Amino acid sequence: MALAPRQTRFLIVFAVLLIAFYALITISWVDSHAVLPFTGALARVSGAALNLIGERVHVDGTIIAGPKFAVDIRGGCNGLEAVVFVCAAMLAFHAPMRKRLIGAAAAAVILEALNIIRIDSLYLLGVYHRSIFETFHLAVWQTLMFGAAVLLFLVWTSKVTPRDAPASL
Amino acid sequence: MLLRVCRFLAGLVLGVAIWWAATPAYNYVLAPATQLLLHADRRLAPLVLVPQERQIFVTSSTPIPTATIPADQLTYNIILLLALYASNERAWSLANLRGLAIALAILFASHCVSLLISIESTYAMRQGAWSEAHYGDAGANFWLTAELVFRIVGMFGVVFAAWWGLSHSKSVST
Repeated sequence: MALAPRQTRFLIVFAVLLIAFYALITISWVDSHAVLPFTGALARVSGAALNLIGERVHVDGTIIAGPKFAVDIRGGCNGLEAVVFVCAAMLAFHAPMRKRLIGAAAAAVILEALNIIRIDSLYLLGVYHRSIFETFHLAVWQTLMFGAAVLLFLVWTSKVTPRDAPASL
Repeated sequence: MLLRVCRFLAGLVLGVAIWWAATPAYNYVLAPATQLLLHADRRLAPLVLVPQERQIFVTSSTPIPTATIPADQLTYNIILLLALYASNERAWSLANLRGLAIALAILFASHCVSLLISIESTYAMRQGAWSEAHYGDAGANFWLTAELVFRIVGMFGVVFAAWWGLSHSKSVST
């Protein structure tokens, strides 16, 4: 059951970065000056996408409201947790710093794009299939977001690991 | 990679089904195990944890207020664990199943700690005068922060670390 020192180091650095990044986004100033405006922008993009497919919604701050249903995008639903997760994993991995930063930025963009799909699908579930809304909100999409983060990490490690090195997974 | 994604999604569907169906029975194991941990805190030692479908009811024969903990919201990270193990190559190999069994044991321990943190946070922050009488500001903030960290990123961090570590360990890797 022994881990190689490099893998042990990876897990420790990952855990430290995960907590540090999460602590950063929960600081009140960061929340009001960065997280909240970002979440509002996310709501506007998600609302625009819903209007594009014929749902008549309006966006007020972080709330997307239609005639039958409304969602309020709060902490935990803006995708930042999955972004923090994948950034911690990529930055903890043994690879050139430039590749880590590019990988983390690319993963963040992909995860937030996926999060817009999550928000819109949850709105649609709330309107048309309210009985399964909570299961999807709580379990399915949260798992998909973190699963996507892990898969992005695996794809990235397969690109940054030298081909002659032993496979990491 | 596409095949891996398909296996992951199959594991996710299976995971949702198992989590949904098994949560009420699982709570009957989780509640007594966590109750042992509660004895470490003298303030909460008299509490009794009673499983009620997807929730755990916290009660006592003393004047401590009661509470209801939505336990299913603490345990759904098992879905990600099953999906990740399903995504591994040779998912049904003995080595992979052994890794999964160890990871499940780690997850169970983390669920006990998570439930403990949730109860501490509930009694530190959401029990009115009782909370103010028994927890200081620093203590209350500590338990609230611990609950938030665990429920937002920690529960998935544990799954990832267990899966990654066990998939790379010398005796389990294939």
